[in-house]
Amino acid sequence: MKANPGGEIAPEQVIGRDRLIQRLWETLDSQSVVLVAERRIGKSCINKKMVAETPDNLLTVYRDVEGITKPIDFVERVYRDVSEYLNVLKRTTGRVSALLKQLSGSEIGGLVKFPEAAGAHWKPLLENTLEDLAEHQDHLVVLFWDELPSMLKSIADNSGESLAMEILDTLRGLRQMHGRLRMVYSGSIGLHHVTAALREAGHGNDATNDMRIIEVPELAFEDACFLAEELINGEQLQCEDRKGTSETIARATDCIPYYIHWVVADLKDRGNVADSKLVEQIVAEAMVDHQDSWHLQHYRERLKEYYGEDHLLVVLALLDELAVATSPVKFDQLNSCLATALHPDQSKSAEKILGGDKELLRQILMLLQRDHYIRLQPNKGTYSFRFPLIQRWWCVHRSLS
Amino acid sequence: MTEGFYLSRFTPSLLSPETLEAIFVQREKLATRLVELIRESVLTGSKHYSLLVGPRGIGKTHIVSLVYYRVLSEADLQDRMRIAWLREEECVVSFLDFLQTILGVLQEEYQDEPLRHACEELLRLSIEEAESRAEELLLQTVGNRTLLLIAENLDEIFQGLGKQGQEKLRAFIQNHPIFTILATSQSLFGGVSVRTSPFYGFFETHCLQGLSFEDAVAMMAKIARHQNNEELARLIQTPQGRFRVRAVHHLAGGNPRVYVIFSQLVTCESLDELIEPVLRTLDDLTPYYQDRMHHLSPQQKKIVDYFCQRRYAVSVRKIAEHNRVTHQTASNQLKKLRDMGYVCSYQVGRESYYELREPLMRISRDAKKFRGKSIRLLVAFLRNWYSHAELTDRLVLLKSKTDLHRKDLQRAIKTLVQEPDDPRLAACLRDYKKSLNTEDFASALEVAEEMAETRGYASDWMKRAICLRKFDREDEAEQSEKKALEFEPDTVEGWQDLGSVMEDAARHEEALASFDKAIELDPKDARSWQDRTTSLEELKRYEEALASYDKAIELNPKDAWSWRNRSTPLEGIKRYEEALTSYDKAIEIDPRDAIIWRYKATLLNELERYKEALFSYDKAIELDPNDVFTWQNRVYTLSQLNHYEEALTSCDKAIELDPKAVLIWQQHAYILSKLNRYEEALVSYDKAIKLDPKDAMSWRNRTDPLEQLLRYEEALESYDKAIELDPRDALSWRNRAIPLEKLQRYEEALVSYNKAIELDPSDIIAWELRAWCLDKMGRFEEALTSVDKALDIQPDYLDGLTCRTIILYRLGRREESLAMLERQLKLDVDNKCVWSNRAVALSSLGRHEEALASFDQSLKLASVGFDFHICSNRAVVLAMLGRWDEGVNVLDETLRRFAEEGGIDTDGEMAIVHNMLIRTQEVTTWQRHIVIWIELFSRHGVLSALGQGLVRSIPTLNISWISDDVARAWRDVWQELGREHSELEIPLRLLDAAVQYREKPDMRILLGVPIEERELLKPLLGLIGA
Repeated sequence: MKANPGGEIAPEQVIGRDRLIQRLWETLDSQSVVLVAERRIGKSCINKKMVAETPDNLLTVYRDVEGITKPIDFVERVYRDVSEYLNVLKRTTGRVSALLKQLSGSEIGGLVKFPEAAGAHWKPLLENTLEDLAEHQDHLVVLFWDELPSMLKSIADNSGESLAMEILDTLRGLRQMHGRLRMVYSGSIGLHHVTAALREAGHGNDATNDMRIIEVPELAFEDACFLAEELINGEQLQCEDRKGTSETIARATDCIPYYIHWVVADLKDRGNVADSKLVEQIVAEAMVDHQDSWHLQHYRERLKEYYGEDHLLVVLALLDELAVATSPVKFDQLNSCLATALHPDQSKSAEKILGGDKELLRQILMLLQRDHYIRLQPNKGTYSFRFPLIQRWWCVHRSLS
Repeated sequence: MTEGFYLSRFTPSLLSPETLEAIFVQREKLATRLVELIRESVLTGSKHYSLLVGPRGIGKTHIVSLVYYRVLSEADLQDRMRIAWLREEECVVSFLDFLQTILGVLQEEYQDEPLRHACEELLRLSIEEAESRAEELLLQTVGNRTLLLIAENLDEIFQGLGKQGQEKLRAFIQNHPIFTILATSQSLFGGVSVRTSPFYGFFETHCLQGLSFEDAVAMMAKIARHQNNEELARLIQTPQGRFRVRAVHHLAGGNPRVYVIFSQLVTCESLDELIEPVLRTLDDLTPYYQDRMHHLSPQQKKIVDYFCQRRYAVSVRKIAEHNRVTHQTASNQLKKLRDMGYVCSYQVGRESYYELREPLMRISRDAKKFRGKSIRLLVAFLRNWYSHAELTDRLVLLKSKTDLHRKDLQRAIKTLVQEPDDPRLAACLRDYKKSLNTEDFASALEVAEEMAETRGYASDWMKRAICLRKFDREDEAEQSEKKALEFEPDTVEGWQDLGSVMEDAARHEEALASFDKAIELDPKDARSWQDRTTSLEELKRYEEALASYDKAIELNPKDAWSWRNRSTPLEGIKRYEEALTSYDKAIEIDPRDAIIWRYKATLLNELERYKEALFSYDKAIELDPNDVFTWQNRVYTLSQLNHYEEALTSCDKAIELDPKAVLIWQQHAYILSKLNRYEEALVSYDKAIKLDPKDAMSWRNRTDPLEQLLRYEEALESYDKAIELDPRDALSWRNRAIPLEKLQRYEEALVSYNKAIELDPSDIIAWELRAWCLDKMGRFEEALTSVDKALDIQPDYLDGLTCRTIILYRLGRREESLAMLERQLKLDVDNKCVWSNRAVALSSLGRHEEALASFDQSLKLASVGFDFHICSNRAVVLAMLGRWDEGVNVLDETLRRFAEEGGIDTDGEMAIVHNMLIRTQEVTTWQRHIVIWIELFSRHGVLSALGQGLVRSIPTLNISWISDDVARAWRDVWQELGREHSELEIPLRLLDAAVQYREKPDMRILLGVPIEERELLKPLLGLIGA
């Protein structure tokens, strides 16, 4: 197994996700799932592994829907996936074929592209497609749609928020109608950001409240060590202390698989030797790499987009405070720190929070948790950076001591 | 050249695989890895996506071509993959276009007729239908195999795709994991580096570096061998040939393409042979460099043009000024140009400097700009190609077959020869110095030989000699030195240069002689005066060094360097105030030189003027916040001021700047210890050890927090490690005894002290501590001898005097003890312990009134006006004076405070007990006092402390003048008065055993005591290891 940061990992080579996958199957037995996680945690790998290793009583379909900008294109992809499956069973998409015939006025056989007339009728096409699927087989169907939030955003940008909302509502309706239909949404943009934007545009529905939100955490320490060791072996690196070096890698990368791969790839590049000292050097250099090979800059760059101009200064102040804290920080302490870090004139949010609006502060902290910047210790009610690696990077780039 | 061999200069993909392999340098590891990744992608479900980044000409296509052929040669992969290689010239304008391009390449590569027909059918469909169909076709064509997609200029492909096309492509790759990708681009373009891009974080990127000089030599040698050009292959290995290659290296800036082009010219001997090919080659290169300029924005082009007009590095500020843009804009553009390989940057202090990476680009631009004026162009080239000597020689032989006017050329070249600046030599000198610093003497010798052969200055031959000596090649070194003398310089610079070489080799006298020769030639050259100061300082001839600085200053009063460094000899002769004035003068001339402030601060530190030193360090930091030495030294200053928290912050900053500096971690640990943060201090010491496990100081100093944490065994291990690394470190031996004593391993502690003294007989502390150790062992006479050794070395050594006082007291020589105390007071009148001890001594001699006065004085000096030992002993003296009630009241109050404060840490000592035994041997007096002690100690719930004190007084029984009768009486009184108190049960038992053993040293007596109590008793009886 070679180091492969950013690449496609074969399902059988995905490490440390069996327990989570088992949990996902158990959940899907009763409801659909929104899979959330920080970038590079491995959501797509999990999706693909589940599809590759589907239990016998299930039918799964995986589709990356990035690049789709119109609802009809989305429906067309779904249709293709369904019809491919039904063809195997020697079934037909009867309902859809009938509808398409109605719309285009001619027999459509062996079609790979919906006619243009179908564009405005994407909703019934989608409904009929999934009804065809439900009718012709008994399995529990799980549709994995990766990068769905990106697709919704593109559709919203191109054709308006209403359409994007309608897609979500339609999908919700289909889940409710078909008891053996499940969906898994996942993507590099948090769905909550997309739905928040839709809400701001006046669409107040929560079209995913029937879905369970499951977070993909970083690997367990033992699994991260195992992954590191497998990669060291796969790259045939000379390593006197495999256990120690693997542990160092796991710790230094916060058990995030992407960074584990990067570290081993870098070790390979440097000269075929792996030891803890080199690992620490690699991580230290990644913190200040002007090429940003580890793509850490986005933790800063995306803040404005995610939180808007108004909240940005508050968010920066909070993260700065948490970055330099040597132990988790209580809510009240964070609130007090903002009093020195912010000024009411800086933004409306700053003004509100300094004026005593604790709810707003709590809301921002909640969003920061959702975006995986910070975590809340449940028993102690204290906050800290979620990933020490990011905390470290943050300190370096914000010139904090 | 080899017949049939074509070394394509601009299209490596046209080269045969054999040629590609033959001339491949530097990147073998990368190429091997890429093939391995492709192999894994083909054989497993994992797929790798690699992106090679580097400017034009850096060798991307070469390595891609090489990988392509290697993959093709892997027989087991062929059936399981398809390869689509999208060349540089492919143009893509949409996702459909992209798919069609791949299909087209596959169709051609695999001669797939059906696919060709199917592709033609696509033209009849609408764009959307064609897109879907093209996806299907591709999936069908590849089938179960893996598609190796090689895409050159990926940045241009992505530009053609646009954002939507990229999204579609990414989704296609995700949905159909059949691809493995090997791509190239000139830089990390937005499509892979901007976080909102679909391919952000997708590729494993490899930034290709330019060839180093050694790589260039290796590559040109390989080209020569591949061409069967023996002459070239031989020439490259000679110093002259290497020097020629260095010229190309300088011109090419590491660009492999340029090396390939110029490889043809290396063997040209005469100017005549060279001129035409050079002109032609420069002409050939022009479109290449023009093409590179096309890829730049107008603003970037302007900046590059600016560099082309200059032959030196320029600061960002100047570039911004000249191009009329803000500093920020200039900085951003320059960073982009650097990432694309057009310029390179240097950091000098806080300023960044930039220059063209490839001087040949400038020469080529000149060719275009000065069309027809080939002379300037040619001369610009020649100045790099030949050394001065070579050029002069060849100039004579020039027959000029060219259409250039011979005389014009001669004239131009003559001017050139007079120019001293030779960038190759600058490169040689840099390499030489770098090799010396890293002690790579083999490389230094190679460079020295190059310079000796080509330039042949005395200093070059001397460098060669110095390097040869490193390999014990004495004969050759001598020959080289003879040559140096032969080519004795006749210029000021020559002598200065020679002097510097000598100075680098620590031959100070010879260096001085050289500098003096330079002065002889030109007494007004300030540099010679400056240079000789280094040699004089090394020779500790400070007065002369000072005179030399003064001379340099006389020649140039604004010479801040001389004013600054003039302080060194002044410090050498301890004229500190003048040294400070010198620094101040340097600051006046150049107030922004942070180093001057730092040096000044260091001197102030030595003078213990810490506040002023701090001010100076802060100034230095203001000017240069990234100087780690300043932060580090500041830590020391703050420690001296006891500002430990600030010192820690300073240390943290130093660590941030240089996390690998062992000394800083040691400082960090030290400060944490001072703040009583011992666990953290240990972590810091461990960090220092991890960085350098052979630094004995870390191991030694680590013992301090360990001892504070009472982890004596570990402290001992740490000392042992320090000693293993540095067996002659007397301090480690001495301090090793401390944990040993704490573990009551006194004999071993003694061995340690003895070793420390053997290594450093003048260590008064070792003698003193040895005395204390012997004191604990009851070997008082030996203890006295030991402390006397310390006092022989330093008669006013206060701790030694204290030690001697107490030992004399223990030996019953109370008058002498008192005399010692009087002597101590003369030296240290504000020492409360001395007054207190004096009081005890006086009391023991029956001079209670004086004793009382002494106690009173001691109390005045106690920080809070209370000290348990002083107050309790004073109470006893009051009682001895007949002021019984007063004495009892004082003791009562003392014990009340003692109990309230949870029992002050007395280490078990209760001075009133053993002082009583020494003070008087009258039983009735003992009885009277012990009765009241028991009553008062009980009243305040601290009777156990009295018991401990009784146990700790047992060694006093070892004093020779205390008779057996006295010892027995002492025991009997205690037993009589204390037996009803359970807290005194164990102390009384131990006292009894001690008295019995004293009379008759029989182990059976000790065996009658429970084992845990016996282990307490043995050290008190001086029974070590029994």
